[in-house]
Amino acid sequence: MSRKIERLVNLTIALLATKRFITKAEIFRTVEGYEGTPETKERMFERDKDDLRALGIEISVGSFDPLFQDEAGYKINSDTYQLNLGSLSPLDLSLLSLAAQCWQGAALDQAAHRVLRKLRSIGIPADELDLPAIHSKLSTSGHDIEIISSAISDHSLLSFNYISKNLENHRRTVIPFALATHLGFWYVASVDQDNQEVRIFRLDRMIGNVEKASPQKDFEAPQDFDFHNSLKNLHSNKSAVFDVQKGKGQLIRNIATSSIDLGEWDRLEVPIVNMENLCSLALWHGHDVVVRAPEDLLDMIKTSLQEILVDHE
Amino acid sequence: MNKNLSAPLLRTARLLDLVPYLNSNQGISIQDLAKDFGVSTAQINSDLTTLWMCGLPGYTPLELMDLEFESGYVTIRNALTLSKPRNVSFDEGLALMLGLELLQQQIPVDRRDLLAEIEVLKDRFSVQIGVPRAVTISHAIKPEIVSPLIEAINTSQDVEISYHSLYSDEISDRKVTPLAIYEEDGNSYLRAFCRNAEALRVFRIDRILTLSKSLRDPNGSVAPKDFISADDIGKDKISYTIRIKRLTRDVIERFDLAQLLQENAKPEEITVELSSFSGEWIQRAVLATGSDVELLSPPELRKEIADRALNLLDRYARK
Repeated sequence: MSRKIERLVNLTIALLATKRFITKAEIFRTVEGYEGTPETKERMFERDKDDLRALGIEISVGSFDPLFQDEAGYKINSDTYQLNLGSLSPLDLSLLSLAAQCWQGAALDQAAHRVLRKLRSIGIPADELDLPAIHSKLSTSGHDIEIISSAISDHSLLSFNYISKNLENHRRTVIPFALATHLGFWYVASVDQDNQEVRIFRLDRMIGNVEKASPQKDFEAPQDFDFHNSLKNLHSNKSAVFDVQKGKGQLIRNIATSSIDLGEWDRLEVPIVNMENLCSLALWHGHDVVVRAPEDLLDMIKTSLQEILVDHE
Repeated sequence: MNKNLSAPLLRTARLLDLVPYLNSNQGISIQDLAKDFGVSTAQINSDLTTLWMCGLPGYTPLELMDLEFESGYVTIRNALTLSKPRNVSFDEGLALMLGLELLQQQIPVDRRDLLAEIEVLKDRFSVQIGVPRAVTISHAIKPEIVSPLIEAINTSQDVEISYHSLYSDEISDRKVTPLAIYEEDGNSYLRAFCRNAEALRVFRIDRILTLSKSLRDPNGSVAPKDFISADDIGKDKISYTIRIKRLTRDVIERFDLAQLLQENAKPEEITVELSSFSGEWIQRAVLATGSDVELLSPPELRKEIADRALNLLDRYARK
């Protein structure tokens, strides 16, 4: 194995060092490690090229001599091989290092480590930046953010299985256009291809593999979409009325759109996005919360309470 | 990129990355090198031995890389071709972009000058690595809470906080000595010595509603520093058993039952034994499922749930 690794490193060095395209024959003659019959060498070289590509190393193919259309030649352009972030100041370097550190133990931890090593290989000393280390780290879930991000960058279709509230598995096909974290969870905003509506999905509710398909050239991301607001307060035209004890029900106060002081109680207006969630929220708060409207929410709460009573008596 | 690479390819990548790293960190110890690359020292030694055989075609001593090991320290010479680090891959660029965004949201008020600097870096990355700007981070942590907390930890100052305790649904004002901030399951927590309780307490930072600096009472006890190592508050966990009548996504996420999903089982009824630090939480959680779950034990909590349901029904009937 180590002979193969040696050969790959030597091939990289040879292709990187050459100014002109070098031919296969030259490679076989000069680069250490190509042995055997012409067919064996040929196969070795084809595999080596694939392996280098898998490592993200681009090999360009060109004519050895532009005047004569003879054998194809190979080389690696140092512009594509080498880190190319323009000139970085010591301050930039410390900012980037801090940025990489927030992935400790999270989804892109390994990538962050690799890039940190690359940054430390540039040879620019980092500025001793007097900044506190980032204290909020990114959440561990969300292992598909890489594939989702790359789909965002080229407007590709994404398909995945998503568990619905009643635990059914639905296949979704979407074009994603934004990714965000909120309260420790990763979310992707997308246009659902079944109904062309904007839908937000939580990444940890995706089951199995996320698959990326072909890019959609004519796709345009919605312009007026505000991800942070969509995650914070979900908008709705209908609202429920909750009476909440003073000093209690912080979770309901967080989502309420208006509040009237009733003395010992406050009357809060809460947008109805999902009836079950509101029912559950009311029940969580027990006697500190009384729901006043709408009638169907009241019915839902009463039915649940009766059932709970029967179960626990 | 490196997700599905075979072992030899991972090793090739490491060798290519070792050269510029050594070039910029001449005389680094084998131990540090192994730590920085996340592999054993034996692996690093074997990597370096392989690198020794690599170089420019010709492979005479003139073209090979010169590696020098001197009592556990490494220097490299004659590695011009590989001396620059490799380009940043998409996932690496993404890690940096998102990290920069997070950094931007946490810049302390007195270092606002860095915001523009970070913005420029983000622009560069977006263009050069093709990382979309539509990838964003919004974090629940408010800098107006976190910055003064960090300052208080560094200067051993007390702060006054108003805190929303989720289980009891109460907002309390407390005077605390912040000791450390840590992360768990995507949430940030503050470990602090609470002067009201005269004991170590853990607070979830997103539930701290307001914060102000406080003058330390000179007669007050000083928080023992070695408390930082004391891991938990030492509260006993309560075991409880639930019968799941309807397995929903909400039930799975509320009671942290992801393993039931893995088993792919969807039986009609499941009985699970669990534990929690708070009896209050258990009651509220069971009620909030709206009868998807029945609490089987402990009996006193079961009775409490029945009483609460009865009271609430009464109230809704009166209305």
